[in-house]
Amino acid sequence: MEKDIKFFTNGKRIDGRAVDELRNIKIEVGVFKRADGSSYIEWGGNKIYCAVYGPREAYPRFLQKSDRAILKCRYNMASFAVEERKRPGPSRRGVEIGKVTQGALEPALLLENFPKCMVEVNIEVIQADAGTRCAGITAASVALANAGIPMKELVPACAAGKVDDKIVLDLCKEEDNYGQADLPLALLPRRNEFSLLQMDGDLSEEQLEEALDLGRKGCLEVYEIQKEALKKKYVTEDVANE
Amino acid sequence: MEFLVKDRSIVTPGMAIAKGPFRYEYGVDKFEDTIISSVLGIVYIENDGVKVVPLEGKYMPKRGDDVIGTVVSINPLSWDLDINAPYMANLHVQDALRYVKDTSNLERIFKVGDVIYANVRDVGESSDIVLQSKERPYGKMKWGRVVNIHATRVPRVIGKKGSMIKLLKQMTKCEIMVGQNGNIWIKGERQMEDIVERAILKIDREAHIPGLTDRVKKILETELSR
Repeated sequence: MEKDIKFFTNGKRIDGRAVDELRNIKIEVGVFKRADGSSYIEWGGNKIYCAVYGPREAYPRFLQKSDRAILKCRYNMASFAVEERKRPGPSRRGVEIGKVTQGALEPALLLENFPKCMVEVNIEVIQADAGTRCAGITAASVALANAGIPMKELVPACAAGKVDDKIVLDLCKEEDNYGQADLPLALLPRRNEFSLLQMDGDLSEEQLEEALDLGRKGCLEVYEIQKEALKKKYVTEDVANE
Repeated sequence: MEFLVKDRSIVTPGMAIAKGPFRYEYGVDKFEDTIISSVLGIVYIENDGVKVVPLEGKYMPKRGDDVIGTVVSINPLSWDLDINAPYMANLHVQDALRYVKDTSNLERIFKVGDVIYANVRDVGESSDIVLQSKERPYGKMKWGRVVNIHATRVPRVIGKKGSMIKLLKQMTKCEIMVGQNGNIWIKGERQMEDIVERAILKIDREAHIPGLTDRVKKILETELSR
């Protein structure tokens, strides 16, 4: 799927970013009233809502674990989220991303506090612009904290990739579609472990190491934004009443 | 032993609070020699102990808590109550009333939808909740209404040594019962109930901001003078 695109001009990328620069990220916390926890993220052109329900009794019954809660993640993309209409409803891709999201978040949660329960995470992509799974995991982690679910730490996620034989951080749409590799990562910052690592494309061993380092750096930046967003919710309310 | 955050500051999950051997209560987790927060909440540091009081989260029942629940279903010898916990609570006939003459029709005692003030008798190993409503303050709440708030903010509704609840009761002449699970039952004049409800919802929204009692008092005064 390679196309003749000039990825770099004067060392800057298509959208004017440096090689190790993230797109603009904005996170809002507590956007839904009915959900136990919720968040909204704008990551470049991505617009994603996330709602968390639970912990509550797990249904169907046979899914219950007697020693801990189960985590259910659903990823869904709106039919108008992409350039060409996406067929609404669950898809192969949606199920896969839901599964990897669950895998990325589960190691960070203290689910053993809630036996026989389930925690539901719903990720709704309203507008997609490359890197939705990372943005979704980032938003979901914030929403879980907003729901008051105990966890070891927040999970920031970010992608690295290869474009024009160069390792870059946080691929944009063109780089994702016509670049050489995409490497979405989710990090457990304190443990310094990755809970999500997928790869689409080719990377040599050295390039993979380089991409992981760059991705780790990006994740830590995202982590700061997550913390700020959570704190800001309570501080702005503070100022509003003064 | 060193603290990495200030007392009473807001912490997010995963944030380091202190280093070294500390006694720690709830809301915290240990990673290597660091004590980290496990919830979004406010840190309290006292007598070389650390705890994080969560700002959000569901009610987790403890033995001895007083709760207000709604009957959702009737079993042969017990009722299932919704108390906003992750699990259903169970109220057995024997624990419901002091004397039960006839257990053939439990609907005559508590119907589905009835609001009940009860005490958590026990929380089992697999988190099943057993209630009891035998003695005087417990039982069915007739009339009135129930307002639901975050369980984590109930202490604010009560206030220091009950100052907030006293204020609400005195100024509006309403009967108020507070359940630890975030359900608050109010009975009084219609308009007064409205005022109390609004005040409680305000407390829920602004629970983490200091000077709450004064603000609530102001609101009550302006509303009552109308």
